Amino acid sequence: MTMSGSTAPTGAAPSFWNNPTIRSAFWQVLTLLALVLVVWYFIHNSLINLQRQSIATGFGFLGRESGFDIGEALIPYSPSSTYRDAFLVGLLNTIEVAVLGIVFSTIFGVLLGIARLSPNWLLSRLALIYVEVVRNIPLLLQLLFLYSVLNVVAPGPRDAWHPVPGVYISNRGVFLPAPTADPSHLYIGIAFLAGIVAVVFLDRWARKRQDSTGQIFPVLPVGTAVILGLPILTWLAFGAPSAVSFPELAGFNFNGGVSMSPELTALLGGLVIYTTSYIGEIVRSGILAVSHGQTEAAGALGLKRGLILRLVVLPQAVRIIVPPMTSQYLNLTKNSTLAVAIGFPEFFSVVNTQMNQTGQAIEGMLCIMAAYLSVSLTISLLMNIYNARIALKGR
Amino acid sequence: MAAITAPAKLPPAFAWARANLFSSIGNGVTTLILLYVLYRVLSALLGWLVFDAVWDAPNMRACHAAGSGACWAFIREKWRFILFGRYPFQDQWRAALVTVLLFGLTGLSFIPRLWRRELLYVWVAGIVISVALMFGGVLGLDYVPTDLWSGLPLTLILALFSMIFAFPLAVLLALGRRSHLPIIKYLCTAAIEFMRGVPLITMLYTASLMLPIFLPPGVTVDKTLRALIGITLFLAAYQAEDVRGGLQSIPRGQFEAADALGLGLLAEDVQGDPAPGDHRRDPAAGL
Repeated sequence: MTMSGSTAPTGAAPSFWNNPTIRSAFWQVLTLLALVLVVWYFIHNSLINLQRQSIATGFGFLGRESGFDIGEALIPYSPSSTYRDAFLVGLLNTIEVAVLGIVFSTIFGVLLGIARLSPNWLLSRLALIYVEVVRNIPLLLQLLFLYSVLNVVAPGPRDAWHPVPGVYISNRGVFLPAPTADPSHLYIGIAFLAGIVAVVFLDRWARKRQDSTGQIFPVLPVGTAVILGLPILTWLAFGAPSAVSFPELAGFNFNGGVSMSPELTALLGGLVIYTTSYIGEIVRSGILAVSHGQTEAAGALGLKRGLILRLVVLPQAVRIIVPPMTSQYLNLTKNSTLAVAIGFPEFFSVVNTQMNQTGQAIEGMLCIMAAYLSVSLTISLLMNIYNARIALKGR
Repeated sequence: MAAITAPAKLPPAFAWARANLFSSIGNGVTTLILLYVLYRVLSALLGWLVFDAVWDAPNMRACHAAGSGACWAFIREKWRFILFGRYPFQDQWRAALVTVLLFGLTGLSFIPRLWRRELLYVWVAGIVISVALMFGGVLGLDYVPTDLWSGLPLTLILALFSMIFAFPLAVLLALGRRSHLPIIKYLCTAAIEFMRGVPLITMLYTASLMLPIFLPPGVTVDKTLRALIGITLFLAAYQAEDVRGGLQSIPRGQFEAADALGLGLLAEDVQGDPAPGDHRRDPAAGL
């Protein structure tokens, strides 16, 4: 489809100003020129401004000592570490929150979506109330609320809330029991992954066999048995080490088990609660979008209810669900920057500290943009690969 | 032959509960568990909100001493600050009026019967009055600089103005992204994807920290305006994708038909056939 020039009468060459090639070149050059001018003007001004305020430029600060401590670090870090290390700590914290948040909000979101469609009136209405309440309150407010509940309202470790045996909630954070570290854990993990890989191959083989012979292999029960059985067998082979470390009050805090700081708990909890409500609606819309005729046709073919769901409804629903789900994953990652309000040291708040210390705002913002763009693009890429695999293939 | 009697008719409420709450054993168990959870949550919530709450106390300490529930006395004491923040106390009626006006106009716009050209004029008048009331400096009202604007009226103003400014920008960006001119297309695509790929707070920081650096020394931009610029750019990138979705849903044939009629690009997209069709699809996505 060409532009206005395509309507010029045939035979007569278009005049200079109506020549589409020249016109498009003219507008593009003009746009580019304007952009270059604006960018040059900004750079020119910022150089003058930075010189007047005697602020250094460049990324030299990355190698210097940061001088501030970070409460939660997944890698060794101290105030004498460099800014580069500080940024890495922040980035790892962001990735930690993003990954955990995506996993939990997907699980809860799917459950919520199914609950919305439940024939049980009470369940579907409660799910509806949850969605509408959570979606309509700003996330920042929810985070501040959760944080103040954990930090201000929650009691000290001595009289911590104790909802379930072994679980303590106090203003020092949330404490959960965990299995005592044991060398067998590594091998159990390996066995679990090996089980998943084996089942993927089993599934392929079963499909091929069904295609050629028509015989159905019970992949679901056998697969479940393999994925769960291999780690259990490994666990038994190591003599079933079953020591569990429970959090215990020692002095002013808890010892043992695993702990989550109030900041991380509030951030993760808030993000999961918020994103779950959106994912629930996406899952519900995806399931509803599969036309009822498909279910009826599958039923007429004699498929059982479970098989209808697995072979007919879900594959089509997933196609509808994946693209908006990707947006929600990206939103969750970007929303994690709100942690700056409750003091969890994710990437944004670490860089914020750097900007306050060095005054080098431009470099800091560039780091933030680069980091979030790469995390976002990685998530997009992975989800697009998955989407391409499940997408309807036109013949 | 024994007469077959019809099953006893259930009272409607009972029949409804049986169909919707106790249709199977699993369903019934779910209902009972949910009812128990609901009872626990509601009783705790009501206790905190109402029964154990303190309605009247001279200060925070007395409030905590008087009961274990919510401290409504605090809200009673501070509600004007919560709503209007640092806006001058004696002029807060102006901020309140603006809030009511903007809420009222938004409410009116929900009534399809009023979707006429006159509504646009009412909006323009409402916005002019709001701005005059907030700033003051006219008709004997005291001038209030934007640093002192805060609370609910500021939220409404930022939301409203960013929507007003973002939409035209979004349409331009969307048209640019669909352009046949490669440079314009790639620039618009890059701008949209970039702004959608970074957190909103980054845009706000950029607008508030970088703008003063980018402008010549001595030129300052109002803080509220900086926030507005950041939100507008962010919103425009999101809306651009909605507009593009709307444009994409129009069959290609319509564009080709418009071409055949000899309409130019702008006439084609904005005044011609496609756009009116497009606007019918758009508003839902815009939300």
